[in-house]
Amino acid sequence: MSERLTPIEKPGGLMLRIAFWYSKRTFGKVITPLKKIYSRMPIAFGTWSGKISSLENKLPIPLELRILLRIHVAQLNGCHFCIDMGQAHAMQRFKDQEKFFTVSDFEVSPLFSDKERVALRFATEMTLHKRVGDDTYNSCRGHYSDEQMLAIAWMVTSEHVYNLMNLTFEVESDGLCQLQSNKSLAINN
Amino acid sequence: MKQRISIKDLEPGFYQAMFGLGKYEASTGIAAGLKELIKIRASQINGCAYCLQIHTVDARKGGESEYRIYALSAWSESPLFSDAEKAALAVTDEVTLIADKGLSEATYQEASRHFNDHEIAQLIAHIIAINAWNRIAVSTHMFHEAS
Repeated sequence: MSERLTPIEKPGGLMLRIAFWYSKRTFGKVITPLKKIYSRMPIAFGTWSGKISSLENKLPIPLELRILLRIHVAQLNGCHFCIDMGQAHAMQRFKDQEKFFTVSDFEVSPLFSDKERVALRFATEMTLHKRVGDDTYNSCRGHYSDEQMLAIAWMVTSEHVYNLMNLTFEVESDGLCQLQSNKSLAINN
Repeated sequence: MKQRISIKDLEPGFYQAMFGLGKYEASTGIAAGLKELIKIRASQINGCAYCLQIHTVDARKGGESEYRIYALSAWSESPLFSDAEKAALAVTDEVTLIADKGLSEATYQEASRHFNDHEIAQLIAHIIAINAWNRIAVSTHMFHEAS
């Protein structure tokens, strides 16, 4: 099967050159969605992603939960690139990483708190049914403020953007976790 | 074991139809992880090493935990699967072994508690698709590289 969208290997404009350099520095390689998707409208996508990340940094829920939600939604949607990206992000930011690699166990695993479980259930319903039943909503509301509920719903929603774009253009995993563990090996030795 | 005939080369039209089934499968609203659990489970029952190789690799890529992949052959005894997943796996077992007792009323009712009619239809479609691949691979001795 032929590749959907030819990757742009040599960035033209300044914006794209900066984005390629930044991706290499952060992840150890230029990530495929950047080469295939964002490189085609670099300024528009660049501005958009700047705004989105400033919004997400203001969300009143912990980074750990934000990444857990990302990985969980990407798993439900089957986006291998996004699962790998979420787990690589977790590897950069957290010492204790087992949780991020066992999200599918969240219902029964002792690593997850009840508070995390209700948020992940909320994310499951949003993802699989596109609406959330009263029981799930209310049990989540019992643990989180209105602003936090919004934050959870936003994380699930924005993850869908990445999942759908990458699934549509058949962007596969970039093996970022592998690069990340090579990097930590190099540092430790 | 030696590979027998290649259905793919002999009957490309049939393979096209099977790939069409694959496209349909990608479009259903069943969670990606559960699709893989169904494929692994049916492949265990049918003894399809080729399909087990493909789908255990895919399940891992899809973020599935090792524990759950190991526990799948004893899913009904395992605490690692949710009630909804267990309901889907029970349907998988019975539809795969359809000549035994069909799809029993109890299993069907339990599935309806967790899945709506569309989703049950989709579950059955996924089970049928993997059973088709299992039968293609087992009957023609398809094998994977021992990597």
